[in-house]
Amino acid sequence: MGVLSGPFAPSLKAEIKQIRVGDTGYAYIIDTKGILKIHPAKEGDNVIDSRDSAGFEYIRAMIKDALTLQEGEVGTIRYPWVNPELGEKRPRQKIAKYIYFRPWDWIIVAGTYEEEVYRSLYTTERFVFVIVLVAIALVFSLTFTLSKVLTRPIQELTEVTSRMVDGDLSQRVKVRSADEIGVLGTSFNKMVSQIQKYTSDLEKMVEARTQELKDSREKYRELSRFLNSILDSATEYAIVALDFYGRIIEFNRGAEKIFGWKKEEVLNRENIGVTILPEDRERGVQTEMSKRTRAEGVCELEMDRIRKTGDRFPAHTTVTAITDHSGKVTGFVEIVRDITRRKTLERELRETKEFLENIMESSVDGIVTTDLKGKITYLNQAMEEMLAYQREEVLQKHISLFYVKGIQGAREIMDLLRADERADDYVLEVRRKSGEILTILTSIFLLRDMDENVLGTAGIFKDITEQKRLEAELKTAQANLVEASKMRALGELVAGVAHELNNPLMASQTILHVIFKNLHEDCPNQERLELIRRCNDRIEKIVDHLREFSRQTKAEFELLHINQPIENALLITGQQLLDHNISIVRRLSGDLPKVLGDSNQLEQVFLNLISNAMDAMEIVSGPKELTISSYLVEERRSSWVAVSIKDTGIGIPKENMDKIFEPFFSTKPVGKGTGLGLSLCFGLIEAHGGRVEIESEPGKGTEVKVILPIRESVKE
Amino acid sequence: MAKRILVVDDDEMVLLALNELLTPEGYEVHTVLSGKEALERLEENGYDLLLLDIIMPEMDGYELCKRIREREDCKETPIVFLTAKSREEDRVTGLEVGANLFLSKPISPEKLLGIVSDTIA
Repeated sequence: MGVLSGPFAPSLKAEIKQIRVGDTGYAYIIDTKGILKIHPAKEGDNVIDSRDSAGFEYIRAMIKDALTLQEGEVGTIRYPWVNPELGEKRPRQKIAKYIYFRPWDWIIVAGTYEEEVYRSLYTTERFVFVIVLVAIALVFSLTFTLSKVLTRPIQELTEVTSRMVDGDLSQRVKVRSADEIGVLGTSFNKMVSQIQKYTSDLEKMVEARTQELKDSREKYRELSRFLNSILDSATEYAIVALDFYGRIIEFNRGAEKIFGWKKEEVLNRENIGVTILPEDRERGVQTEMSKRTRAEGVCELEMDRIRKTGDRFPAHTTVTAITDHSGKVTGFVEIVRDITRRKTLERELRETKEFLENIMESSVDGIVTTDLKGKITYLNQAMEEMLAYQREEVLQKHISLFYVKGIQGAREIMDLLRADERADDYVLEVRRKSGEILTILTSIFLLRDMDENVLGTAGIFKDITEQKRLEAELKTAQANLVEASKMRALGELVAGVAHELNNPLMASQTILHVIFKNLHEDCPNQERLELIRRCNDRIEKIVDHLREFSRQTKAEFELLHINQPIENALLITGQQLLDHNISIVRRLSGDLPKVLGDSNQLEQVFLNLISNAMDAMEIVSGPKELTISSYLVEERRSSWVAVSIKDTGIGIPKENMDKIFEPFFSTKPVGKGTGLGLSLCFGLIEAHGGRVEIESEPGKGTEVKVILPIRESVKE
Repeated sequence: MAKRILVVDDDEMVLLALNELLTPEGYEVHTVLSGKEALERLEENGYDLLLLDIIMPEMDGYELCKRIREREDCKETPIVFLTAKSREEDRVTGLEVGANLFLSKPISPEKLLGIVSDTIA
C-alpha cells in the first residue's frame, strides 16, 4: 500500500498543502494510527509518539479526543513548541483545531503559533489604550485647575474643623471674599467661638462628672468589697446566687463549707440541683420552689439537702428572687443553713419532754402548772382524775376554779411563793367537778427560765381526804380509848371512895338510929338530928350512884330488839313525864334488826337519858315534848340501829358540850345530879360497841343519839 | 341467956356503931379489929352469929371465914358478911367460902336488926 491511499485525489493533497494559517501555520491530515496522511514536510511519518516541548504526547491526546468528537464538532489543543530548526530556545504556545472525518478515518488538523493568530487584535488594543490615556490626562488637568479655585476655602474650613476636632479651638478661617463661601466662613467663625464657650462649659461639667464617677466607682468598689466580705464571713450560711435556670453564679465560703463543693467547681458549671436530693429533684421540688419564689418573692422551707460527698443533712432554706429594673425575675438567691444540730437538739428536747411527760403522767399525785396569771397550762392524768375534769375543760382556765376559797386561795398561795419561792406541805381544799370537796396536801413552787424569770407555777397535789378522814377516825378512836381507860381508872377510884365512905356512913347511920330510938319526943335536938339523917341519906344516895357507876358486874349480852329496853324505861318514867306535863312522841320502828346487848344496862341508859330530858324541860315555858325514835342508819358501808331521845328543853350551852361526858360534870342544882349519868351511859354504850352523839341548841332542845351495831348472831 | 355476936371489922367506927345498935337489943356483942383476934376469941367463947368484914389488912374476910368453917365447933355457926363490896362475884366468893349471907354496906339499921334477929332465931 502506498503513502496515498483512500479516496482522495492528488489535487486535494496539493490544496491542503497550500493552506496557510497566520505566517507560519499549516494544515495536515493524520489518521487515528498517527500516520501523517497529508503534511507539507513529513508525509507518511508515524508521529503518534511525538512529544511537545514539555514532554506531553500531544498527538496521542489529540487522536484520542478526536475520536470522541461528534460530526461537525471542532476540537482544540494547545501545546508549547520549540522549533530547533529556527534556532529557538524558548517554547512558544501553539494552537491546533481539528475535526474527525469518520468515513476515511481522517483527522484534519490546522495549527499555528497563538501569537500569530492574535497579532492584529493586540494592535487595535494598544491604539484604544493610548486614546483613553490621553482623554483621562486631559480630564484630570481640567479638574485640578477648577478645584483649586472652588475648594481652597472649603479645604481651609476642613483643616480648621479637623484641628478643632483635635481640640484646638483657637483657629479661625481666613475670610478672603464676600461671596457665599465668605459668608459661610464668617458664620463658621461665630459658631466656633460659640462651640469654644460650650466646650469649656462642657469640659468643666465633664470634669465634675468624671470626679463624681470616680467617687461613686470608689464607693461601689468599697460596697462591693463590703458585700463580698459579708458573703464570705457568713460561714454558717450558704449563700448561692442562681441564674434563672438555677445555674450557680455565686457561691460563698459558707456554701463551700456546707455543701462541700469548691466555688470554682460549681461556678457557671453546676446547677443548684446538685445540692438537692435526687428523689426531691424527681418530685420537681426545684420547679415548685422557683414557682413559689416568683409568686411570693420569697420561699422558705425545711428540707434535706445533699453534700458533694453524698451525705444528706437537714437544711433550712430561704430563696428570694433577683429582679431586673422592670421587675422581671432574672435569678435567685438561696440562703441555706445546716440545721442538723438544731434538729438533733429538737429531737433530744422532744425526747426529754416525752420522758418527763411520761413521768408526770404516771405520777399518782396530781401535777399542774400555770402561767404567771394563774391560767392552767398543764395538768397530768392523776390531776384530771382527782378533779374529775377533762383536760380540755380546764386548760387555760384560772387555777382558782378548783379552790374552795376561790381567788382568795390563789392569792394566799402567791403570797407564800413570793416570800419563799415555794410552799411545801400546804393544805388546801379543792372542789371536784361533782362539787365534792377534797383536802389536798400540796407543794407549790415557782417555775423559772434560765434567766431566772418567773414563768409560772407548778404544784404537786396529793389527795389526803381519805387519809384525813382516817386520821380523824383514829383520833376519835384514840380519844374514845383514852376516855374508856379514864373511865376504868375512875371506876376503880370511885369504888375505892364508895368503899371508904361506906364504913363511916354506916356507922353514922347506925348511931343516928340508936340516938333516935332513945330520944325523947320533946327533945329540942330532934329536928337537928333529922337534918343529920337527911344528910346521911344524901350521902348514901351519892355512894349508891357511885357504886352503880363503878359496878363491874359482867353485862349479860343477848340478841334483843332495841325497842324492848326503851319500852321498859318508858314504863318506869311514864308517870313522871306525865306529871311534868311532858308529852311523849314515840317513833319506834318495828322491823329493826336485833342488837347484841344487856337489856338492864340499856334500860339504865335510856332511863338516864329520859331523866336528863325531863330535867332539861323542867323550867321551860313552851311546849314540852319528848320524842323517842328508833331507826336504821347506813354508815361506813354497814347498818346501825339508832335511838334518838329528843327534848324541847333548855339545851346545852356550846361551852359545855365538851364536858358533858366527863364524870362529875353537872349543871344541875347540888343534890339533884351527881354528874355521872351521861358518863355512865357513855361507858355502857361503848361496852356495847356503839357510841353516843349529842346535838343541842341552847333554847331549843337537845337530841341524844345512841347508835349501836347490828349483830345477827351471838357468835359475832 | 343473951345471944352472943362476934363482929370483925378493921374500922373501929363500925364496931362502935354496931355495938351501940345491937347491945340495946339484948345481944352480947364482942368486937375485934382483925381476923387473928377473931380466931383467938373463938378459942375462948362460942358465938351465935359472926358478922365479918371482908377488906381487912393481913387476913381478909374470905380467909377468916374459911378458917372458921374449918373449926369443928363452928361448922353450923351463922356467918354474915357485912362489907363495902357489892359486886356479884364478891357475893359468890363470899358464899363459896362458907358464909350464910352477904350484905353490902351501907345497910339500914332496921334492916340489919331484922336480919340479925332472923338469923339467930
